[in-house]
Amino acid sequence: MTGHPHDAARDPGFVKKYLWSTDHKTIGLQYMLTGMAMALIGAFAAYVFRMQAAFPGASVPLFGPVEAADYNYLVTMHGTIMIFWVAMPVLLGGFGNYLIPLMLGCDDMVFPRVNRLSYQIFFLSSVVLVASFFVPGGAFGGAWTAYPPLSANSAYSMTPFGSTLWLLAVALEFVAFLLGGINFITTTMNSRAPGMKMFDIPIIIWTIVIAAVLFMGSVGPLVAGAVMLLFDQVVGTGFYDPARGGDPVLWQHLFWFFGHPEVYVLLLPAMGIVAEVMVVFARKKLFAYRTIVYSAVATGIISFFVWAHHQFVAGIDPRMASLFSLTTLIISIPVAEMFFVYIATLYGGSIRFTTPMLWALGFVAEFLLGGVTGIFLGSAGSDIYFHDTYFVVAHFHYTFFPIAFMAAFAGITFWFPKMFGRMMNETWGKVHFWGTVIAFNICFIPLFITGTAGDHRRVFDYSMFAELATPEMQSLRILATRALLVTLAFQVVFVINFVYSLFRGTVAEANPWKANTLEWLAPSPPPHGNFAAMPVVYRGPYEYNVPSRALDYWPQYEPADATDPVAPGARLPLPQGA
Amino acid sequence: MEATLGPLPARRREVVPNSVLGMLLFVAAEVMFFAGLISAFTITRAGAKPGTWRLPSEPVLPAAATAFNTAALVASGLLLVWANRQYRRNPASATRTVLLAWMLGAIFVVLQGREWIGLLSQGLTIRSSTLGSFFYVIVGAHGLHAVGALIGLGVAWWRLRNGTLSPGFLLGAQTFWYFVVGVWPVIYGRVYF
Amino acid sequence: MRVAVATAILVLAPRAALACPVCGLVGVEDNATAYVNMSIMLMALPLGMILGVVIWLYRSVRRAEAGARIPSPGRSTSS
Repeated sequence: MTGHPHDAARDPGFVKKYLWSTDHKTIGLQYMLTGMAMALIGAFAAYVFRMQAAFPGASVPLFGPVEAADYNYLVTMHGTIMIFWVAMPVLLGGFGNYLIPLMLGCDDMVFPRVNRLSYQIFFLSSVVLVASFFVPGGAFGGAWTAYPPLSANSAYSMTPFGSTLWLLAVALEFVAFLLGGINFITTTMNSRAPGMKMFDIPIIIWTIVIAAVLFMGSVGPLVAGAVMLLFDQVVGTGFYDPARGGDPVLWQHLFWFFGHPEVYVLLLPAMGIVAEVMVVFARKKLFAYRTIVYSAVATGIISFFVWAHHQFVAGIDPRMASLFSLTTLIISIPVAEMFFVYIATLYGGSIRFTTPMLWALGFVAEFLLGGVTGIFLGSAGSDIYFHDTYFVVAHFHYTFFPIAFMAAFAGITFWFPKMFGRMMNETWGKVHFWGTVIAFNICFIPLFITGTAGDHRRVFDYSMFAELATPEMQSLRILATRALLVTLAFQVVFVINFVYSLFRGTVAEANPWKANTLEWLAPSPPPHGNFAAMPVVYRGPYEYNVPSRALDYWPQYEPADATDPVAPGARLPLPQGA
Repeated sequence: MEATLGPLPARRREVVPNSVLGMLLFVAAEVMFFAGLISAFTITRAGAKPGTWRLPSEPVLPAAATAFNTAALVASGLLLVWANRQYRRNPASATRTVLLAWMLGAIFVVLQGREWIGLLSQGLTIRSSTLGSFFYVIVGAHGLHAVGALIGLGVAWWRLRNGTLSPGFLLGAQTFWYFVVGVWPVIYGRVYF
Repeated sequence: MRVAVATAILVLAPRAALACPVCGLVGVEDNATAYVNMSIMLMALPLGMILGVVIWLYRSVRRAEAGARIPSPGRSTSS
């Protein structure tokens, strides 16, 4: 398990190297590319159902006329895929696997074969999910939250095979990330480079590990609920059937007990990516490192106390509703804290507006909108009005689009040189950024307005509802759909830039951004085993522009030797202990 | 700074054994799985209308007979603690204790299976009532975990006998078996009464 | 005044404000209590377990770092 460096000379062959590898980098890229491929399916679904919402009854190019059942399964699959098969694999599976061993300065995860198994199960889950499109009755159409009785009884959902396959795919996916999370936490605990203390760990590793802990702590009840739902579907039990003594609201609790921490499982790695990118391109020491760590921990703890704000209209105890309103408002404090710290990091820095930096700044701006609109939904009173309107849709797209796409683009453009040894094109990267961000805002701001006007989110054809089918409302829907088309069109720029740079980009050196963390010591792309000699850590990860130094960065792996202006062997006054 | 003094330290510092930490994290997720099932059971039982929970035609769960199974399982867990002590002093001396613990665990699984057959014949099935559904799902989930843990423990015993057992494997298998033993009294106390 | 009355109703007679579409009439109070209890259990359990593991790790790290400070090469743990 530890004898990797000697294997590097031997070519393991294509299958061993790319498909059956235990190497964390290969697995990370497999996760990331699978996630990006699934994003295409999710985006196509969004395109089709938005076309139906804007131009009801029209035949959608590349799809044809949209039936009500099609609309249902497209909406369901869009949500499911974007959260479980795009955001999770890219942010956790992709960046987590790729970065954790590199940034900690070790050669691989502690359980490499468990890691391979994790990806294989994830891949299987993707296959099961995609297969559910082609079974009799079509893919599951009961919304991505799968509330019973719609999901429990095929007489209601009319997708007898689709709903079961959906449940199986989600369960398999959780097993995959459970195995991955065990690896993340154990590796971070036991495989750090010598000299790397707890508070020398880069922020992104902290956030990914905290996210993994949250995932492991919250996923159990949902798996329990999923097993019960599976029995309801397949065996015919009545766990969620009130006529037979069951309780349908129970599923909502079990689902959201996981579902809300899941939001922070995805948010935290995104915040970590943004921190890494911002520090490098502000050329300034990260402001209040420990505050970020503690805020992330606090976010994680509070995230266990907020889930019932999804049930304000489902009939929960009103005493509980007011408590959960309170905790929901409280959780914005540590998140806001982190944003303030990021802005303080920017203050006075020598900012370079590279593509990754633009994505990171865009993340802060856009997520802020998502967070602020969440205040209205977290308060039980206003939520009763806003519940299930397009306001909710716009709100969570303002959180999830920055998380799953803007932070992911920041990370991909930032670590692309390390992953593939070539630089991405900056000009086209910026074109992609501005096109995406502007069109994204034009897409979702109208939905805030239609939602406030009472636009219900699960309506297939608004012509049935006279008060919603006004020309003003319809023109807003059309505007949103057109903006979505523009957003999607700009992703082509990214795909072309990505593929072109893969083969023709400028060859990248080991440390093209002049960054401090350990992954930039390894060659680009790093070989099997990562480092020629295992690195030793001498200081924290964010020593930029240290006044006594000629260079504006000071890598973690660089010994403080006699040629250095600072006294030999001196360790900067970094937090000790832990 | 201390890293620059003396020879380079080992590349990997296992602050805690990998297998134990990995297994503990897995067990934590599993505990939450059973917590989810137990909470669903409690909530549904509290909200069920009279007559929909356990049908009058169905048998009462055999709590007294299961107390014996529970005792066997707990004894197996305690034996394994003892085996671990023996293993630390002299690995070979723990072989018989591990086997004994394994057999007690197997007795538990077999007796639970017999109990299921009896209940099924008396008309309590997974579809007959909410109690039946919960009973078979919860106890069945625990039974599956017990079988999995027994396989792990059996492999540990086999390797111990042949002298190929790594300490990490034994620790991992043990941790999982303690989880199976520890979660059962909670299930027993909640579901059978 | 209106706020005080609303709060009083909410605290003293929460059933008056309870809108549970599926509970039926029987056993509603039990069900609500069970929800509250199980919610507390589900929230406390993972945090308690995580706290336990974190304390254990913290102690182990402290012990390992205390051991590593002794500059004799034999003390460094090997994998």
